[in-house]
Amino acid sequence: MDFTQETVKNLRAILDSRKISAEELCSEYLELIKTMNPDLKAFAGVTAEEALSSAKAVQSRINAGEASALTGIPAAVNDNIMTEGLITSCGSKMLADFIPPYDAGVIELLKEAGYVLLGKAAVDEFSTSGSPRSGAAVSVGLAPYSLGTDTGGAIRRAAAFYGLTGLRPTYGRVSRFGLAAFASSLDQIGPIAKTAEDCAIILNAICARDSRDASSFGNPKNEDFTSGINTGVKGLKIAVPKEFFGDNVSEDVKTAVIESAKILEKQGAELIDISVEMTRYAAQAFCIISSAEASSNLSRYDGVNFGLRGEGATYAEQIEDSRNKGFGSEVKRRIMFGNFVLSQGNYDDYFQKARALRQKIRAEYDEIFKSADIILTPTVSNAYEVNTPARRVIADFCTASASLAELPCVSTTCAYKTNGLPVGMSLTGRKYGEATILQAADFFERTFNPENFS
Amino acid sequence: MKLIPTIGLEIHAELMTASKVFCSCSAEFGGNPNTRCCPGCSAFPGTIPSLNKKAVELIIKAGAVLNCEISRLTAWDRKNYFYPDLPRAYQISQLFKPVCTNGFVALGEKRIRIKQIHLEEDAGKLIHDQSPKYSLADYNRAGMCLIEIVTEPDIHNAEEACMFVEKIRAMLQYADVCNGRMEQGALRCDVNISLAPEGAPLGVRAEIKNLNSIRSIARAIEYEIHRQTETIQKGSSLIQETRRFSDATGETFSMRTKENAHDYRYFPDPDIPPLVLKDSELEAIFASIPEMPEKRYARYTNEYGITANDAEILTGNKILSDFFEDALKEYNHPKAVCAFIVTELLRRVNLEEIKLEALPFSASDFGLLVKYGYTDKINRGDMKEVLREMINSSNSPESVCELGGYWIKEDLGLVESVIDEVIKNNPNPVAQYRNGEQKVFGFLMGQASKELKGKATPAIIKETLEKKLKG
Amino acid sequence: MDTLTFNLLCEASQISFPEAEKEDFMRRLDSIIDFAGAVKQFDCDCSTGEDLGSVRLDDLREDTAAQSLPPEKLLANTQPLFNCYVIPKLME
Repeated sequence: MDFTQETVKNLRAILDSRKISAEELCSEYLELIKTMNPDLKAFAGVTAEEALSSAKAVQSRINAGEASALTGIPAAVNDNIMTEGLITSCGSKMLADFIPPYDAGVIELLKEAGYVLLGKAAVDEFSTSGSPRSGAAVSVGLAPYSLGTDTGGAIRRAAAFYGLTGLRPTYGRVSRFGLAAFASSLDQIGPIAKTAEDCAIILNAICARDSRDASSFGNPKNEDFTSGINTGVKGLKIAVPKEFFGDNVSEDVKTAVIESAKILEKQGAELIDISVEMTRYAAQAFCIISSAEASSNLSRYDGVNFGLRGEGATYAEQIEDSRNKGFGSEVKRRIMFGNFVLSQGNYDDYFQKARALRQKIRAEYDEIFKSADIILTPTVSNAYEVNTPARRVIADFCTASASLAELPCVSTTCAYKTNGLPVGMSLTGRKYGEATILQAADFFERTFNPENFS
Repeated sequence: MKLIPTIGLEIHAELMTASKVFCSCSAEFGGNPNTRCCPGCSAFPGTIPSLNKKAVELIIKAGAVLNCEISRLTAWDRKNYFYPDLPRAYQISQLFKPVCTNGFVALGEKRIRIKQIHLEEDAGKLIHDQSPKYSLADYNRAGMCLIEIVTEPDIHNAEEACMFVEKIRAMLQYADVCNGRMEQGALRCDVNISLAPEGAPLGVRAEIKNLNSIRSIARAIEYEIHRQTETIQKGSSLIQETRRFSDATGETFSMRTKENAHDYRYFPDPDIPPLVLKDSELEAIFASIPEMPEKRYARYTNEYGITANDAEILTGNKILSDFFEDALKEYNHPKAVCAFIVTELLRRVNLEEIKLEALPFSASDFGLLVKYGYTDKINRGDMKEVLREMINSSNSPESVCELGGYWIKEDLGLVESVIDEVIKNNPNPVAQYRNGEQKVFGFLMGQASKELKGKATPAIIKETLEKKLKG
Repeated sequence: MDTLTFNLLCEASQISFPEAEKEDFMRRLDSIIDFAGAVKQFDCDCSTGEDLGSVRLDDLREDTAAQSLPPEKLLANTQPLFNCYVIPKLME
């Protein structure tokens, strides 16, 4: 029997009913990975042996009825999240052989929960461009869920591109300790899964305050993020900002998201027309802030302590050679641009303006959330055409806004185009409002029937 | 043309914390290479700095004793540059919102203004003499807590600079902020110095880096004044540059780096949230500051009757002053304890037989020794000898006195027979005394004491001698 | 972008480019700069911008020293000498 297409929630029931052992389940996934990964390259590294032995080890917990939500359930983890003793390359030649001597905070939590790591999901170099690669494994059933990272939208884009559900939690919900930093003030870890309910289950497991990350907030109210699952949308106030439905968004995407809004309205949600003016600068502000932080964060890669070691007679020559050889051209461009906006003469014009804009955007969102519970937008302005060269540099204002505002945002599929490709819509919540947006996304997923749209 | 030197200082002081400023590694001095390091202070990917609470408390204390304003909102910035002793390739420091601003230190009537004090991390150590081909990096020191005290250019000669640094050092020691051990690099100083005719705008400045003794500060300033004066008087022009001082030659030399062209691209560190300080928190920290030297000085001179000069010596160094106070707990006779510290203890220190930071005896043992001398348990003249033996043997004063036979034994029969002998052997002085020449008493006393050394107290000898002379 | 600016950025980034690639890279850099330059139109008093997220004294780490990582684990991703990281000899 093939269980690889099941949700996390169903897998729990399946394992607990002992239809299959954790080890057998793990083997099913590993088989599939063996067949498909060579072409798909969804995994940068597969940890088959470790996976099987940890699956075996947690079986006793399942047998004793002591399993927690993720015990025995396999997972993929982005390769920019540190895993002790396992190569963590961050998708970079610079760290091709790097073996971290420690686990990320989220990995410690997942290990405690008895998860089974199948392997490290391939990422763009230091997650520079936020491409949707990290969703590939989940989309074809090589893993029931993946732990992704989102700086300017990678999780949400992956969800939109592959017809999945992806959650970027509020900045600070999930510890960044052990996530190789690209842009520290924007990076967050979150789940990519098949449903909003799965995302809620996973967030329950990875949300904890971590003293090693000063921005970590955790879950002080001990919220259950699944509390809104299957409860409908009656009474929820959903704001629809006009800036996200202008000329810069393709027609089919706009139509699909508006249609979805109407479905939610029909089921008892209240729609509010609003405006978030400053989001017109969101992509630029994101680009400036993230590059500035990245230029500094990536300075530690000089080949001295770890990583690709270049050649050279002097210190300066050697580290320059390390960086020339270790970084790809997109990363180099970001570093150079980051140093440009931070240098004397440009700092006020670019970096300070971008920071001020970020605060303005936050203020606008705060204002909206005084009268709304959710902001509904397309996930990507041009649906799936995200990999054109221009797009790769220029962050999408749709996803960048929530990142800049540090707000939680879930993307779920709201339509399929005539060519069969999915369209994603994003539900942004107030700070720490994950339960509410997951509630609405879950409801939509339960109501949504793709047949009706094609 | 009279040229006036203008000097500003940047003093780096290492804070007395148990752990580093952004990770939990030990902040102890030294250690085998890279044994006090973790992925955090070694800049591994994914690590995030985690600010040390005590470090913040200590810089607030420093700010308080140096009369600074303490910011209610303070934040950290990244100073970006590549150097192999700096594993992240940026130093976490404070440029835009330092903890302390606008302070001053009084040197007599004069005030030296302090522009700001900020909290930052130290860099690692580079070792150049272990390998002919390579330099080696040891990150034990990387991430140690430092404060940087930046003065306004209010200093005008080497003497003032040294007094200022001494004063800062003492204040930081008193406040338990920094141990002040310059030989371990716990306090180091950069000197900015320029020369200009009186009333003219400031001249071109040179920065002399990393001076780690009061003596080198003085020598470096003297040399720079000499060098810059010569250059100006020759009609040549000075360049703004960073220089290094050589202890061996007593000269400064240009470091020939691109230091001055450097753009550090400072920006707020996105890993470290700004810190908001409440008045109540600051008040609690202020309240925990120990008694400062001025207060002790007043107590020593007013209550203890110690001379101004001695009080200055005692309070000039926190370790010494603490030692004095601890000794008083054993023997509450401030003048006696002070006298023995100033005449004997400090002599031994100056002869480099002992170090104040690591004395081979406790303050209470020292107090006990003074007590023996001043209560006639031993001869006062023997105190020096006992102290020397305490240094050599690390024994307690009690066992030194026991083993060395210093105890005064009260044998009255012996006293009488010795004095009888003295009277018999000195008929002339005895006759003089009996004729009313009181001053010869001292001579006779001396003769008797010499014989009775360690066997009778001076009081007993005096009493017996008087009795016999009269009888 | 002029060559001087470009060289300064290379220096700050410790990255260099072969002559043949420089022009192309400069052009690509210019395209981001043009794009991002839109923020200059935004009129604001940038000096007043305060960061929203902040922490309190009690949120900070208590000052207790913990065990460091054994050097052999720390140095496992490089070839150390005398338990130190190795760089070409620096001229003092």
